Amino acid sequence: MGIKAKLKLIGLLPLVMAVVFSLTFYRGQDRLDRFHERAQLAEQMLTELRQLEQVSRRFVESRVNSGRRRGYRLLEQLDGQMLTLKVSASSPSLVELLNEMERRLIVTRIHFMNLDGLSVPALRRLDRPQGHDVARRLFQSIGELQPFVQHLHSLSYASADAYSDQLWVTEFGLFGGSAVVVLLLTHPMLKRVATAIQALSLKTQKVGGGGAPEGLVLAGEDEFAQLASDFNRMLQRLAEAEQARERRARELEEAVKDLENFSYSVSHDLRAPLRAIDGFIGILQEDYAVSLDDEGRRLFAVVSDNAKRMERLIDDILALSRAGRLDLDQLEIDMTDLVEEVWASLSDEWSGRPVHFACGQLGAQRCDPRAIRQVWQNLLANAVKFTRDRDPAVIEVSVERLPGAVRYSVKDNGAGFDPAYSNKLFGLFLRLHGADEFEGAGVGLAIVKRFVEKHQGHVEARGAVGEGAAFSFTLPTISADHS
Amino acid sequence: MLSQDSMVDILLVEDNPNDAELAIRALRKNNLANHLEWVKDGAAALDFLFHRGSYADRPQQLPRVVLLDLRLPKVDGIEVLTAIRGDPTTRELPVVVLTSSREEQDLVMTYQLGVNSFVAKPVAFDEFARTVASLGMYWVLVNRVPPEIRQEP
Repeated sequence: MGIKAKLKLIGLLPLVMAVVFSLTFYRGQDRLDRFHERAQLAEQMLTELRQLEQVSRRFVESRVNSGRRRGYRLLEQLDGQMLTLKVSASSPSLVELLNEMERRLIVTRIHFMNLDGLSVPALRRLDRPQGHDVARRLFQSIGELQPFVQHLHSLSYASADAYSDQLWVTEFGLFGGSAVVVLLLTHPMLKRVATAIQALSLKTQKVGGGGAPEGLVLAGEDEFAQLASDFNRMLQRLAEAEQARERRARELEEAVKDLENFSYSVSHDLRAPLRAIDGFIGILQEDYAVSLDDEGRRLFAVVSDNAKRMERLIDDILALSRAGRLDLDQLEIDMTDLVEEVWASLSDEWSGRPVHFACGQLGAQRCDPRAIRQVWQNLLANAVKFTRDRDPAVIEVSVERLPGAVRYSVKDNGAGFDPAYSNKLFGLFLRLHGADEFEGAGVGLAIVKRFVEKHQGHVEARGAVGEGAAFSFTLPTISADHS
Repeated sequence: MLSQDSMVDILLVEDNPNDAELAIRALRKNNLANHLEWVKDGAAALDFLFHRGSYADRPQQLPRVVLLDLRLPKVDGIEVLTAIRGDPTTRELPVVVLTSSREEQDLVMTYQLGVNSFVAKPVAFDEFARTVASLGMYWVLVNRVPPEIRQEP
């Protein structure tokens, strides 16, 4: 039987008990009432017998008719009460007692009727001595009847008392019995519930604390057994998921390691052949310059240029790879100082050109200094590069406070870009200008995007062909407060 | 007395023959390659420095500088550097790492092991030649070492 069914049964038990209690009580009360009624009847009969005696005495003395009628009425009443008693009587001893009483009542009635017969006014003087004899016998029979009625009266009261006691004992027994039944029914269940919950909480704690998940054992066929099997299934699935996660994490770790090894190899091994190409071209140019014509020298220069371009490409790819792997620090940085410093470091690119550079007060911000320095470096280098044919080139750095973030922008009046392709600006190796127009591998903005997104910020570009470009990035101020 | 010819100023540890040729050429142009020994892997470098194997008969004199690549067959540059710094006879020997790597981890690691200098090989020929020549010039001609490393002739 399931816990739920047992609980229902236990819930139903008080109802059944209440019905049994009230039935017993009702029937007991009924019987008690009958005892009381019998006692009352006996009492009434006693009173009536006493009245009959008085009436008879007065009748003997006065011989008035009213006395005679009264006597008969009392006898009628006694008969009626006798009948009522006989109807309700069931136990043999009581029936015997009542039969005895009835017999004596009949004798009493006969004596009364004899007395009445001798009391005809015409016979008054004649039968006086006989009348006295009859009256004496009547009084005797009444006197004899009285102890019986008295006995019935006390018997009824005693029975009522005894039965009342018995009724209470029965009710108490019933109550105690049902309490025991409830206890017997609930105890194993409560014990079951307690053990099950304890086992469950222990296991849950173990699993929650990261311990090895083991099976939960709850024998039986109730809901707890079901719960245990569900719990075990859940544990198994959890263990499987954990295994899958660990496997994936291991794979990921290996992949990252592979990637790191790869980029290390790129860094080291890809440069060697390039150096050889450029180096031996260099040797050729140095040692055999005399036997080369202009075209020959130009061709060597093309090879040498390409080797150098390839090296820049490698450097850019490595920079991007490092951008992805960098663990960010969070330091309070003065942005104005940083931008001025980066601008100064780019002086090789802009010195000797008409450039108007304006940088407002950017304030301080929590971020990774190396990453954000690279972001400014790439954005400013782009601005310098794409304004190279402007006179004067105007480059402006500004800041804007947003709710929960701060937005930095670099605006220039350079070559700009077609807004239709703005989504390609931050993609890797995607370029909107031909290699002969502006050099570059298409990695700079991809690095900017990666670093900014690692800070939970985002990048944005606005511009139009020939009308300059504005690149902006946001850094969150709220998450910085958390760290 | 040690013979002038058997003295080595520069020990070049480089597995790539092209790189080695470029480096030796740059040094020769500056007249620095006369006392140069070139070994192609880390094991040979350690044999040379600790007079083992084919270098058992080599005179006791240590070179003025070791130009050490990091990616080497058999025993890599980091292990060579660890062995040099771990031995009392070579602990103070000047070691310059000359590598293609621009990885920060290599830079940090070699400095922790007590390298004297870390130089990334430029790809461009003229730059490479200039870098190697100035390295040779500095460590062979300018720099002075304590006498227990090298008895000056």
